[in-house]
Amino acid sequence: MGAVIQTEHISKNFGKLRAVKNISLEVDRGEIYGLIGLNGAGKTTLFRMLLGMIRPTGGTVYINGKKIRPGEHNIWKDVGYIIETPHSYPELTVRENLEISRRLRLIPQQKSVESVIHRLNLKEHAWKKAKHLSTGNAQRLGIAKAILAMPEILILDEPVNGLDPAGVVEIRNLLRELALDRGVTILISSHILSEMAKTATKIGIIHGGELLQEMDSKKLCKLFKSYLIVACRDNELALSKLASAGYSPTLNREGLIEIHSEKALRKPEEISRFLVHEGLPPTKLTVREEDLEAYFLKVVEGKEQ
Amino acid sequence: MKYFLTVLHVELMKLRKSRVIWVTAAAFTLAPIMAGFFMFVLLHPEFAKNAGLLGAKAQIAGEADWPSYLILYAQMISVGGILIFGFIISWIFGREYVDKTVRDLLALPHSRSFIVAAKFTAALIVNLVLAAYILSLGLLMGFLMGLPQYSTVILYQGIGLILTVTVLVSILSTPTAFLASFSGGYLAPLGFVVFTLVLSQIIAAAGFGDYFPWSIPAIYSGIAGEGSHTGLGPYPLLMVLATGLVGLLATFLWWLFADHH
Repeated sequence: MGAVIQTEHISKNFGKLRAVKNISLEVDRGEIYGLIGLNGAGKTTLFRMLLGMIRPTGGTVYINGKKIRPGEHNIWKDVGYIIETPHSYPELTVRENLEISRRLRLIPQQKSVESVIHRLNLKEHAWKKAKHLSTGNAQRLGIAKAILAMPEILILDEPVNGLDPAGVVEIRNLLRELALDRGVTILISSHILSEMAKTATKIGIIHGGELLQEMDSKKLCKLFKSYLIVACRDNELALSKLASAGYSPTLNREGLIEIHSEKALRKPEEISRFLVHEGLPPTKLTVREEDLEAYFLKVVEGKEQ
Repeated sequence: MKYFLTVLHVELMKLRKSRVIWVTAAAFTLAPIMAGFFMFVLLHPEFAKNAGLLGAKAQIAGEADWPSYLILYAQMISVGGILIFGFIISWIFGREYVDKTVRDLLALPHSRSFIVAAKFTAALIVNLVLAAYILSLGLLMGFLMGLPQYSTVILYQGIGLILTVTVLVSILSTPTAFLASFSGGYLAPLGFVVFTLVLSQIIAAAGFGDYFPWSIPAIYSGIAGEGSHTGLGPYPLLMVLATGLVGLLATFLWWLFADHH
């Protein structure tokens, strides 16, 4: 079975600016594909092209195997989306905004509005005008509009922006439930990388309009490197002693000693013993594991160099 | 057709809930009050004498009778309508960009042309309702003042003239919708509305009103003098229709094919 969301060598230029460069990606049914990138990396431009809001300069987008082009509006029946911060009609209530979405999406079941209000915990705000909602609740309303039609595909640009920690967990659980239990295909972008690592089943790193890397979330952890962090009263002296012992240490930005050698990672107690023997007892000795944030920055910095 | 009616219902609901439209309607209420005042002054010359300059200005309205009164309404819509109807259409299209709700209208299971068509239709309905509203107020005041020369023929002719002028001005507001969509807001279209209104007055005063679309409704309504509302010639009518068509097409094409950021 083919990919539900697919781009083939998609590019977008704005004058001389190449916002998206030759991106090909595939998202399969039931997958949560997390796209991570800095501001201006091209995430939103890519999402807009996926939704037919802007036309690619080159390449093709397919949703459910159908090519996106003007007039192919039937495709959007199965797609719910959020682009950047969701906005609603400020003078209308939460319920009225959802009612408008229901009508525009031709959803026959009137109870779908009540059901989504309940699901997104918006019940006590249902009669509030959208302009009086907090950022978090406005975001919830945006998510409610996106899932109102129970679509097969969700394209969500920064959906957890503005949510409190409990809200973030709630939306993560909702998305995982939709993908794992109902087979909804989700393409999501976020700058909260730790959240993305917990939500997505596949991760793509986008930078400068290019898709630098794609990986499975399960394999992602294996890519994260572990290293030792050591601190002594005299880090400079400890560094030279460790170097002469063949551990290849480096000083990091925080002024702490980093040791990446396999030997040291296997037996960190050896490092402790060695430093004590040299009259430099460690004040700190920890094994640190790279997280997605560190890994992302390493990939991005590597590209820039 | 079913989807068009659904979208139209949504558009009218948004308008009904919007404070801007009610404020506009309230502002337009000034028109019948002003017209009623002119007629009152003309009907009561002793008041005009006491009012001095105000009495002289009131002579602009012509005779204090039903035909003049109804023509005055058509003239007010032909000039004020450019501003008011232009404001309404700027709001209908521009607010989607200002409120950033346009994104929710771009990837729907039906063509975006339904959205555009519904917005234009909603604008026309609001324009007609506003015209009917000020006319109703005007009729009430006319009867209360006891204006002479009332007959159903004169009333129907007056209503026909007002309806035609409302439709003409509504047709001319389509380029404003395009500007609201193109510029992504309502400042540029409002600037355009004011500019066309000023220009229409200057060009009409210079005697070239037949060649400037936005002057044509005013000329048709008889603003140039008594008896000038004898009919709309084919060329001015064609010019109004062509302007409306260009605005309509440009708006549809923009919504259907432009990049929406």
